[in-house]
Amino acid sequence: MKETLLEIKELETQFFIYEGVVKALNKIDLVINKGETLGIVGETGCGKSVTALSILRLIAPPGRIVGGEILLEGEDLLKKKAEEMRKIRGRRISMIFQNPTSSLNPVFTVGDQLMAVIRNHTSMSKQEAIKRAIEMFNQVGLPDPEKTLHKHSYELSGGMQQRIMIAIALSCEPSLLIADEPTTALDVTIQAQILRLMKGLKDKLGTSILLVTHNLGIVVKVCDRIVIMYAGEFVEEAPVKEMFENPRHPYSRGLLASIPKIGQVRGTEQLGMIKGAVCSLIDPPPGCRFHQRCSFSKDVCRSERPQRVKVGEDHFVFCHLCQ
Amino acid sequence: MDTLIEVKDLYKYFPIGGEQVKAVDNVSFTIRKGETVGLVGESGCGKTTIGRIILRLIPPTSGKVIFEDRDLFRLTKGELKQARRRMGIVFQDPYSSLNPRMNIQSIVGEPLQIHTKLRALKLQEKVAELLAQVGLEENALRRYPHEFSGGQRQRIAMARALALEPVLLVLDEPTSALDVSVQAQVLNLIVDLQNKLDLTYLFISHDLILVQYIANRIMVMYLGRVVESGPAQEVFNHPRHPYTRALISAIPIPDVHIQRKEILLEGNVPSPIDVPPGCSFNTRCPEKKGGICEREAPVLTKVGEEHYVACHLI
Repeated sequence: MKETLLEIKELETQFFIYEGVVKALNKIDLVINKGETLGIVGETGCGKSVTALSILRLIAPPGRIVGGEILLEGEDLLKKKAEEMRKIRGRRISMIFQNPTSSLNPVFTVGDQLMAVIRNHTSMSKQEAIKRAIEMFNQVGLPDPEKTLHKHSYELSGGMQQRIMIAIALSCEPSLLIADEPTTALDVTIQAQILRLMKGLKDKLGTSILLVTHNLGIVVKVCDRIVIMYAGEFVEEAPVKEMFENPRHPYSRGLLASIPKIGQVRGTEQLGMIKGAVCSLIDPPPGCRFHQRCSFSKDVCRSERPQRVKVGEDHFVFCHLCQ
Repeated sequence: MDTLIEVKDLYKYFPIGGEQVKAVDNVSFTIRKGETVGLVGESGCGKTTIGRIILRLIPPTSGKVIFEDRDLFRLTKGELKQARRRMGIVFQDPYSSLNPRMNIQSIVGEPLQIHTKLRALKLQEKVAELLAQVGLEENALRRYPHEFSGGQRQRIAMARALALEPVLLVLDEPTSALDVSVQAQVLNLIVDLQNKLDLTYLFISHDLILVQYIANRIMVMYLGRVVESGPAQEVFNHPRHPYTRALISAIPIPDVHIQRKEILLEGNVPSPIDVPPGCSFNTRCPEKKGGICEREAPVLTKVGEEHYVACHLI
């Protein structure tokens, strides 16, 4: 039985820059259920990171959330005061970022940083916090936790730094972990370790995960559901298996066709390509934002934004062709 | 097929604070005319360093590079200038590999200015031709790099690399910085051009799936040494080295039907300053045999048609 943890309604985030207003998120809706891992997939500039940052209200000027609701177990985060948001970040919703080296402060020990989060959100004494920190380091597979507490980030490898980020993020047992491209900066074999760690912890703690990535392979490994994003809008959402077996949106299909598959070698057939380039987010075209690159666009695509249509079990598409 | 380039006993050690970074640690291989050789490995394995050495962009510590039957590092200045026409390189980062203060005409025309007598209108025409070859329009000539997307910049980089009609192109992670859909466009272009212009490629990448797609032969590197080499499909489907197996198993595959046994490597990659004795992979090898793996560095042994593996388990 699926229970809603987070519900985003008509979220609109914009950036007010010299050249104009960047309409980064165009009234998007999203639901994350308890215990599930949802992947947001899209290419550079599609708005996936902005979505993640908007949830935690980490959008800094010149950006601003201009409309919508973000309901965490019924409470609208956009109506919370700064003080209340600080209690939520790290405690009910945590986030880890792409580059662990720049997420950790090199001046303090990693132990200090982990304990700062623990003591900020709980009433543990220093001794209790140290115990919890060591416990977390064990949970994320760091060797020699007592010693590692006293190290600085630059003494550790990328994989170890990311494990520490995960330890910090999960230390207060949040209901939702947002992971923004957590393994992009890591080597393939280390990436595999981190993904397995995240999956294991999710199973153990029942945390929901919102995974932002451009790598479809990672989605298959870790996610239950996937939503594909294009130019500030969602175009398709489905359980992972369904999305790969039966993609309906022309963009989703193009994306899946452009990745070389195992056993596919260069030859008479080219890799699937999507012609053209992404539209401007300052001056997006009317109607469907993908229509200029779509081989199937009709008149209605050029004038009306497509609505969400159910095309299968838990499978939704935003496309006029699927009406 | 004749040999285009032969690398013999190549070493490259970078001195750092009294120690040595063993970037390339005894590598030998050949590339035949018309081939695409894929050089694969994770960060720090030495693949980029090799790419730079075979173009004589950096000198080796020891070893030979024989390019078109001549010892590249013994050429005179004049001979080297001639040899440089025959080779080109495309770098990973499309944002730092084009001079932001030069327009496209200057960037792509620069090799022609240095090596040929083409000037003014004739030069401009030739550059326009080169741009058309990579799918860019003539109006690009007067524009600057910042006006183009990552994928377009890589096309410009290719046009520049092909300006003098080289026989060998080193492609160092040419699509890693690009989005997936753009990557497809650039890869298709790379394949097309090879067919049209009869090019030979050294394709460096950490992405094994890409490499098995585009290469005829693969070389897998770990900490400065080649651990396995052979025909691309053969190495990919029948990997013999434990590292190759772990690498393949670690790749996230965008396919819901493939079931794979996961081989997880424990621990971190050792530093190339402190390469483990014996087989450099022994500290992480899930199939380690024991003593011999810690004492002796294995040599490349033939295990199949053109398929070589450096491992004591063979």
